[in-house]
Amino acid sequence: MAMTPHTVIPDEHYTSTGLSHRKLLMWIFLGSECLFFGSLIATHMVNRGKAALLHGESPACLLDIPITSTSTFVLLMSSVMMVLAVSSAERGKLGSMRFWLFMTALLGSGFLLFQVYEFNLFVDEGLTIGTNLFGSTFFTLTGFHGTHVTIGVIWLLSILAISFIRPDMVKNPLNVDIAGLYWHFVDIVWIVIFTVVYLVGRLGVECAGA
Amino acid sequence: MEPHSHPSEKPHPSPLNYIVIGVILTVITAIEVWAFYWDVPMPLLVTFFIVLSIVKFAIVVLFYMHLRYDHKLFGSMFTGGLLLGVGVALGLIALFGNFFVGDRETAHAPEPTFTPTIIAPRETPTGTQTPGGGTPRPVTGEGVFIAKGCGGCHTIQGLSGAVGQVGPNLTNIGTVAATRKPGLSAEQYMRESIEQPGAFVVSGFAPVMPALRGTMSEAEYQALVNYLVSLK
Repeated sequence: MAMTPHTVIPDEHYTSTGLSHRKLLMWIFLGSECLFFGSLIATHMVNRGKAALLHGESPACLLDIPITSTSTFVLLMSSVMMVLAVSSAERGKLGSMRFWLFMTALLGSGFLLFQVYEFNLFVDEGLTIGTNLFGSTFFTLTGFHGTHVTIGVIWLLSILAISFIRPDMVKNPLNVDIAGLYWHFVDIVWIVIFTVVYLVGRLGVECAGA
Repeated sequence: MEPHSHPSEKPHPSPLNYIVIGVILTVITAIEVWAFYWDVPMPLLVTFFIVLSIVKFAIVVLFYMHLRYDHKLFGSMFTGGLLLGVGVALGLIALFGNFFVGDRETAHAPEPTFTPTIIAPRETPTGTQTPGGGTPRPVTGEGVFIAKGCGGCHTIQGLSGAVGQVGPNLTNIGTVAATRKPGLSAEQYMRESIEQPGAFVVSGFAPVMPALRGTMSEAEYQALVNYLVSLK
């Protein structure tokens, strides 16, 4: 059953604020996530300069700006796909919503592949989560971010699958909207990580190869 | 306009607007990466990066996450958490006194130099002196190891007080030492590492081990080397 524009959306349960509690809960959750990632980012900033050297230079020398810029671009594009999926859902266009959801999940997986590549490279170079303060705080921060992206990909693919099995369940655009909020949040956390950990973290570090 | 997804929301932007916003975000990211390779004074560049990332953050939250169009309650829930999160982050950074970014060697501000904590030698553990004039205890490698503060930086499982993380774990050093440098036996490697700590630094560790050979008698030194080599 295809959704049509101007469908009257059956509202959720009555709430005293008139707002969806599911959406409100997502915003509260994202607010708490700011505390979570804020602490992890600050911990990395405080400790990275105190890390034992790796091969006689700062472990920050392993950070590859061109590669990470590419993965940042991929994640940013996934956010554009996501907002188009939300927009399609709001206008009741089931087909294009499925397409954009699939593209979002695809680009999100692409971002994860970049992270797998980066983690492998670092471990090959001798930097693991147990090597020094840089490794511990870096892998904890980016690992948790990657976990969030993974959960997001699973969530998006679940909505995609449900849209085929039970199309009426995704009739309410709020279901895509809430997943979209989560996805965009994961993107803005990466905006901060890319700036603070990669660009600022790599600035002014003397490296042999650069 | 499109139908509202919720009565409390103002109309959302059109797909074309979303794509234009996406292009703006991409251009800002490209400028950041480009600026990274400029020869600009670091504090200026760091400020520039932080401003640009705040702009990107705000654009995504306001337009892609629809906070600009949504009910204030959603925004206040998120802003509350965000301000707390930024506060916690700044508090952590201020608490640990490190606003400094980049490499230790290239910092303009003097950075406290890192020195491993050496546990103060105890009075009697090597057996060379005894309080109260009792029978001198024999010199043991474990005793020398603890007395010289080695346990502050190195871990040896099963030896009380040897729990440091600054240097390599020495639990199996007798086996490992024989493999470190081709042509050196475990004992030769052990002696070289203690006499010239900088001669071979294990990957991943800082060259910070102090030269302690001069603080030991020949008997103490031999006991220490024998003990370490025996750790298989």
